[in-house]
Amino acid sequence: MSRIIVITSGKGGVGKTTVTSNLGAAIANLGRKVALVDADFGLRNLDLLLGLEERVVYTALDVLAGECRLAQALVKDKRLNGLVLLPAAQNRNKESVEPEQMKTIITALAKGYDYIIVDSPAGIELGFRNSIVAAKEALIVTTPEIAAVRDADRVIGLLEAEGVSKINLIVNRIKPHMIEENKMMSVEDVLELLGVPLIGVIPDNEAVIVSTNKGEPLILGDPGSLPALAFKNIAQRLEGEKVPFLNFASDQGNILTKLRRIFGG
Amino acid sequence: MKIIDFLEMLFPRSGDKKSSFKAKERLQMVLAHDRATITPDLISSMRREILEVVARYVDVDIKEMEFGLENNQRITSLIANLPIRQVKRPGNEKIKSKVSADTFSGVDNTSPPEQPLSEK
Ligand SMILES: Nc1ncnc2c1ncn2[C@@H]1O[C@H](COP(=O)(O)OP(=O)(O)OP(=O)(O)O)[C@@H](O)[C@H]1O
Ligand SMILES: [Mg+2]
Repeated sequence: MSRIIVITSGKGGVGKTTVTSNLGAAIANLGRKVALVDADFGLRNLDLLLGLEERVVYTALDVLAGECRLAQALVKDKRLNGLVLLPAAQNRNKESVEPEQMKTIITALAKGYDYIIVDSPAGIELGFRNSIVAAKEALIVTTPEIAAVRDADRVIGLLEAEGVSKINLIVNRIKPHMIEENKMMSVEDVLELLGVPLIGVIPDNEAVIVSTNKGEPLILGDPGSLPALAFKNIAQRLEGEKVPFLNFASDQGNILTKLRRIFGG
Repeated sequence: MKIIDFLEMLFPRSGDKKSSFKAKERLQMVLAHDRATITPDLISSMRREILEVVARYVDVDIKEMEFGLENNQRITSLIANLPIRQVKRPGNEKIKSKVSADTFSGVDNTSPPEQPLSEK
């Protein structure tokens, strides 16, 4: 049985596409067959983050229009065995895809892959509904910021109403030094507010931006970096392994927060 | 003077230091309302009617009472704290009660409310 997982957030720009590409690569790296589906029609970016933009020939829309077969539209990642991308259309009207059509495509994909991971667009409109229509599980991406958490809560409610009951949380862009000074909500705060299980914590880290610059998922370019490890851990947790959560606090923060910690501030 | 106090004096923390508490507090409020899909109108008429019933039995300190929605682990509860000034007893109206009691179950966060208003 393949797993169909939607990556969603409500609020824009919190890291859905970053998570989809890096988590997809990390799961493929564990030897699984992974299909990444870009459901952000009109604003596609997943191809860029994966560094596959030049190899996109057909899109999901061409498949729906009968202009190509599904297999022809899939872009294979040559660096990672088992990882493919189904690109979204960039030029056409994003209203041109219906949830039922999306479901047909994803169900067809599910026959050949262990994981189908769908990168949802921001918002809760048609694009969002397209992205969740076939999903059995959801990973909610949020940052420890007030608007992101509120929108995450809204989306969790909508997913539960749609019968997607397996919902896990990823807290992205954590800034340990801010949390230590109580200038940013902690992961525990966010968890308590949202009340869904945690599956990953990702630090705010320059390596993430560098990897998108290069179009090279972290697990390939900088596998030893903290964010790469964060994604690897999420992949392993999805596979059912018990992996302790990363603690970013120990080696971060300015000298003052360190002194405060030492002297009990 | 403890060393940490000395450090604080040398490098005062900025004024926004505890802003994470503020964020959490505000979110608790806003999520309760988002989840409950209960309009402020509905809350106020509920408040009025509940008070009516309670007032038949006890004298409630309206100034001190709290009434609203609260959130915990995806369950929204109606929290009411109605301090009692006096228990009305048939035949003995004059006995005063010193209890400032929580009239509802679910008044404190530790005991689960009898019936969550809405559950997502
Ligand atoms: N952990 C991180 N550390 C540093 N930068 C990050 C991190 N996560 C995401 N970013 C940056 O934040 C920006 C938004 O990320 P991304 O495109 O993944 O968000 P999104 O949720 O897919 O946005 P949209 O809603 O527009 O689809 C990007 O510039 C990305 O590089
Ligand atoms: Mg995106």
